[in-house]
Amino acid sequence: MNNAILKTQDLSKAFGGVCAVKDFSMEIHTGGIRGIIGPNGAGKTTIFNVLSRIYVQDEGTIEFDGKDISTETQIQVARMGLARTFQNTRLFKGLNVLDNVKVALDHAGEYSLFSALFLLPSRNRKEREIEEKAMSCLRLLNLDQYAKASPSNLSYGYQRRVEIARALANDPKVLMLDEPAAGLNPEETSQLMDFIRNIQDKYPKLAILVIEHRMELIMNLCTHIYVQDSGLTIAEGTPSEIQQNPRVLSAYLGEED
Amino acid sequence: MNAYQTGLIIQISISVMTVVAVFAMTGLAGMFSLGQAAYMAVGAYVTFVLSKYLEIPYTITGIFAILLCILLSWVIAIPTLKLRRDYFALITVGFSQMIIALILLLEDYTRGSIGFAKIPRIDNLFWIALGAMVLIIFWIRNLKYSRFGRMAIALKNDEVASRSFGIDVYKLKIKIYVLASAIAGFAGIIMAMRNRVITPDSFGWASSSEMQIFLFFGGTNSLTGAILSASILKWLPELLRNVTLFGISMQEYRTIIYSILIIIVINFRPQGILGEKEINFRWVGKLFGKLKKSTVTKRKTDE
Repeated sequence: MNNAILKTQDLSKAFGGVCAVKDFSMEIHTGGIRGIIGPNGAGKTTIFNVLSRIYVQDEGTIEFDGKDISTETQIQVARMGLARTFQNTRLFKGLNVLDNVKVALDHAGEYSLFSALFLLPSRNRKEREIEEKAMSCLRLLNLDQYAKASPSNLSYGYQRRVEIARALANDPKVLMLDEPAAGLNPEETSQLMDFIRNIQDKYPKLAILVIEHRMELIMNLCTHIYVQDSGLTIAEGTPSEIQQNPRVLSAYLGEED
Repeated sequence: MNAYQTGLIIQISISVMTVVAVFAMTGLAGMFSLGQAAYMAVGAYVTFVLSKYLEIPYTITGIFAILLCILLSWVIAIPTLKLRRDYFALITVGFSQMIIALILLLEDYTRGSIGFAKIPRIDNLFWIALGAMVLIIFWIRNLKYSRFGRMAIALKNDEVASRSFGIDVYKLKIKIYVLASAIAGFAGIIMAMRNRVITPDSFGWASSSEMQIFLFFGGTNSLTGAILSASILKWLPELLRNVTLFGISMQEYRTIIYSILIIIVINFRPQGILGEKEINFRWVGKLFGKLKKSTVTKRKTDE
């Protein structure tokens, strides 16, 4: 198990003197599911934004699929197969569910603007391929009945699922979920957990990294957890180790006098 | 059809071409430009001024003018499309003022504000204009339903999220802006052919904003809306030509009429008259299906 798909070494990021993440090191393997937990402001989303290259880190290295991506751009990393979702659902208005999934495939659509304007056969062929791929992704996750629906007409829980399906459309190697259960009620949360387990079954080679501050989701899904507090990793290990770790308990439940 | 009617139809098709191009740029990709009329000016002036002074046919100078529009819009897009959207809008205004200033400065060739009138009569302009309009509508419709259209709508919504799907936001914006500007340049040539005289003030800021008003009236997300509002709103002042208010023809009030209309629309239907609706064949089919069904049920109840 030495071939980590995504690996960071001493990652640090500060915003004008305020240290958001300090010396963060982690790794995740193919087929694995790991979580990052921590209270608000612990730097969880900053880690995701650095990994997906929205921010550039101040220090540290990131290795993805055996390649150093510390200097790559957001677009390149996305094309290499590092997919993510966002904390607030960011489905594109004006596109239906199917088109939202297609967008994830479109950068690799392989037909020119010219053939698009003139409706050339090459365009139609590629467009059919994109449609099939997007539909099969939706079908795999039992979302195909919503293909023609407008995202804003779906419940929040389903919007989340569509967003995850969209991130999966291009067969990424790593999927990063940024607080997937935010804004969901307990029932929707448990449905979402089933949904994520279903993804693990359907995409056995996918590595999933989850950020969450809700304990139950992460404790039930992940095999390995990193606990962040004020930018520092205060603990890491299996869920049962984390649950008994005194530093984690004090960060979450407050110090005992 | 008399000359007035054909002239009006040509004018409407020019309006549709420009608004459809603005739809691709603003409606799909969310780039709010207030300088598209400047490309019309480049198209019109370069074609006919060069044709006259270099004594080469306007078909050749016309192609050159459109290539120049492509080059100009590309050069302008490279630095400005990296900026935030509001700065892009400001710079396009500046660009259009610069083009007008240039036309006035080159008075010896362009005849400045008097207007350039050495434009030959073109036969069959009616069919050329209509044909070009249909072709441009066909293109932009195809653009909307292609991967480029989807990516454009995505980047209009959220650039950061678009990048996380590997979309090269910057390059795509340049492509669409250049396409829209080339179409504007072509529409400018047709407009010069129709009016037979071009003056700098017909390509000013006001006509650029007129295109945006037409687009927002019809609905920024609807190509059908853009086409309908571009033709109806262009036609409206002509309809009101013989109506007078305070002794002045209503036609002269068109800027005021447009302004009132856009204020009403933005207030009561901010997504525009058509919103996101498009007329497509399935929709027409459904309408017919409904009619058929209703006649069938009617017949049944009659029996």
